[in-house]
Amino acid sequence: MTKKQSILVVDDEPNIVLSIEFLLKQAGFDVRVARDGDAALAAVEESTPDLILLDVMMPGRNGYDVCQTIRSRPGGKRIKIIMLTARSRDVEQEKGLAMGADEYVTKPFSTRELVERVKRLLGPAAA
Amino acid sequence: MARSDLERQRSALRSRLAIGLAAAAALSFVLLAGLAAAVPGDDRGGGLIAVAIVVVLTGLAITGLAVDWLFIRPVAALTAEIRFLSEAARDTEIEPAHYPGYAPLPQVVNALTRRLAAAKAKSESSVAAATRRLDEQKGLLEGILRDLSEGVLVCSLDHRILLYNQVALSLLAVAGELGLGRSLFNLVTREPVLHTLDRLIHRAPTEASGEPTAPLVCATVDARTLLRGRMTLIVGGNSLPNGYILTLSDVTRDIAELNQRDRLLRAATEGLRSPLANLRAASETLASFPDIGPAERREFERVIAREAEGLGHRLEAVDRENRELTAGLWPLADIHSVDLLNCIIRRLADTNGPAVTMVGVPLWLHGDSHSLVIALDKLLRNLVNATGQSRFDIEALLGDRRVYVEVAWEGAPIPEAALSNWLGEPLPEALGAPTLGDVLARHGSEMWSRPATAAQRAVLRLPLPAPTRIQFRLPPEGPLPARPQFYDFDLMHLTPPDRSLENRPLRSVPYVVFDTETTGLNPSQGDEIIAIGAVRIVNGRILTGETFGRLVHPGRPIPPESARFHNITDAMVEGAPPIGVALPQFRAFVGDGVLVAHNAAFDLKFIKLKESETGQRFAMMALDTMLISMFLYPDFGDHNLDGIARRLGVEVTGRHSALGDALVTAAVFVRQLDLLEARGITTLGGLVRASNMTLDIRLRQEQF
Repeated sequence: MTKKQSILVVDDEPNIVLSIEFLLKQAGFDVRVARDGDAALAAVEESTPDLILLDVMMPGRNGYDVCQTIRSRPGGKRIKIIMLTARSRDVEQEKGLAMGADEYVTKPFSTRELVERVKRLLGPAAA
Repeated sequence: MARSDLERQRSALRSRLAIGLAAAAALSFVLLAGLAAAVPGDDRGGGLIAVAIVVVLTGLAITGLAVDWLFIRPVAALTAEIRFLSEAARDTEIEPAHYPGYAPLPQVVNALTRRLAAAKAKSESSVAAATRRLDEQKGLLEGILRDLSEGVLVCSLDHRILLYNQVALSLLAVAGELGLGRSLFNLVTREPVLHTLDRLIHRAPTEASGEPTAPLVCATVDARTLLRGRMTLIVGGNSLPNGYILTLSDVTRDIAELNQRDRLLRAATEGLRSPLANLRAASETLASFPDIGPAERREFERVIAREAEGLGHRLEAVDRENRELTAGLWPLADIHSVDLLNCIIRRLADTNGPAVTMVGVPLWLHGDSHSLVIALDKLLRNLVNATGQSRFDIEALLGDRRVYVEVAWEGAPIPEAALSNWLGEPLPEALGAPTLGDVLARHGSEMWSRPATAAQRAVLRLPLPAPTRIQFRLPPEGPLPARPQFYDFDLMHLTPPDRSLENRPLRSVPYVVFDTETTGLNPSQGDEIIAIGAVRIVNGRILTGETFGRLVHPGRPIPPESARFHNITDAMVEGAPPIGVALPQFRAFVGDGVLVAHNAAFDLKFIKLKESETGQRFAMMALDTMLISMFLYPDFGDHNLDGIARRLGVEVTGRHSALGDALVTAAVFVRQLDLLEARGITTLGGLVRASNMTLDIRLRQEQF
């Protein structure tokens, strides 16, 4: 019995969080939710997740900022980060990757595909 | 004049006649004297002879006078009259009674004169009519031009201004009159005009629009104003272009488009109301009746799914339409990075902003020049506050799908938290674009900051749309053969530098990378320089803002077959300075820099041959990127500029213009500096030894 892998979902949109949280829990992950950038940084401080699903457009600290801040912290480079955004422009993807994201997913996305990507990124140890 | 001609003619005739008569008189005198001598002592005979002489002489004199009176005078007079008729504007006729002996001639001449006068009158009246029509058309054209809100310049293919309107003058900030026939390039930057014209003339038949017109953005020569406009080719009767029209406009907004946007917004809000209402009704029904039957529940769920899908489509449509509209409101156009960046640098310099140096190879990009200038101005000022630095480099870089504008400085990157705050800051000067974020959004752009590849430096990157034009146009015939490689031992064998330079780090040396265009390959057989282009490299950075580019009058015709290498024609060098003027200017530009050229021996040979004529010495060291390439990659066969550039990943811009080639060579040289350092060659002395060694090996190989 391995320990459940932990995922932090960061998004200010409660409806989409509801679905993502439900699906990832179904897939056997330990899921926490943060509603904005500051809450996300606090959650990471409290306990380092294996993966973060990070929305870009949030009031206050945006996703790029959160990503850059996490990467600059000790141990922050180990966390896998998937960025979520409502805009599908190549520059945003490029900026996301420049800020240290591992992958980039555009809304709307297929929920099944999102779960597949999470599993693939976390490797064979994934639940 | 004609009158005195006539006099001369008449007196010549007369003097010929007089000489003839005198000769005849002398002859008869000699004859008679001989006769008298033959019969000595016979007095009667002597008397007879004397009488005969007098008679003969008198006869001759009378004949002479008669000839003069009857023939020479009337003919000369008639000639004079005819000549007068042919020259005079008035219709006079010859009086036939004055020339009784030449009866039909005056009449014939008179008839001819009358016909001539009639023909002349006819042609004069048609010339007058044509002039009147032309004046009317010119007046009409000037009237139209005057009433246009856009500046209009009509230019010939050699860029001389043929016609312009007042708006053009105020846009170009020209005080007073703009001399007709002056070169357009006294007013606006060369590159966008030449590039757009080239593009129009060589437009591929497959390109969408058949209209011979294309948008352009150019800068005034003082780099203070960016102008947006269109170029339209004027195509002559033979369907060959013989000039172009440039319409330039200030950044003014079209009210009609604003109205259209307003309508779109109303349509969007009203159009979204009803599907939203349907959704709301369906979801509320489901919520209020939790125990609704399964069949009915499925029906409601179908409604929700269908309306949600419809809403999505509608939103996409509105978004698309809005994008098109905003594109109209903020017309994006191709801009040459040199124009854009120069304008920003100039603005900052004029207003106590930071010192910004343009580096790298110029590129085309696509954007709204007005808002970009203001946005970058704002960004650079924010960078000064955030970094404490006062010197920045700015460069255009080629990405896969975009062109990046990158600002570099010494220090740390700007955290995203700070950058995202900048986005909301207002840009008071920008028309219709209240914030930095708006300008970026308009260009589909984001900005971010990260450490640079060089240690202790950081960059701010701003991706901008790629240009609609082909970034780098190869000559229509495809790649051109490279020049033959010259190995002039005397020129290229470098004297080891003195001690002060020997250990000088390669990067710290100031270089001037140059190229020439010539009428041919044989400088010692009369081929001449027709263009010199050069760019400075300082601390390993190509200073795009410090370039030298001159056309040179070769003092001989340019062979048309050489034009495919340089696209320079006789007409283009007309009025260009001769080498005696251009070379001292180039020498001054070089200063104490080390020269760099590709196949330097070729260019240097042309320059060295002009040293004594121009009084300029080019004794400084000259490095050769070809020799450096041979040193770095001895196993590669081809060391021409295109090949090396490709190998080193240097984008080839504007090849086969002197400045274009100099810029490519500079980019190649900067990469070579990295590679040389990687091979442990870090000083000027080291590079000279490597270069000389390579030359010796090559020379030895050539011998076998």
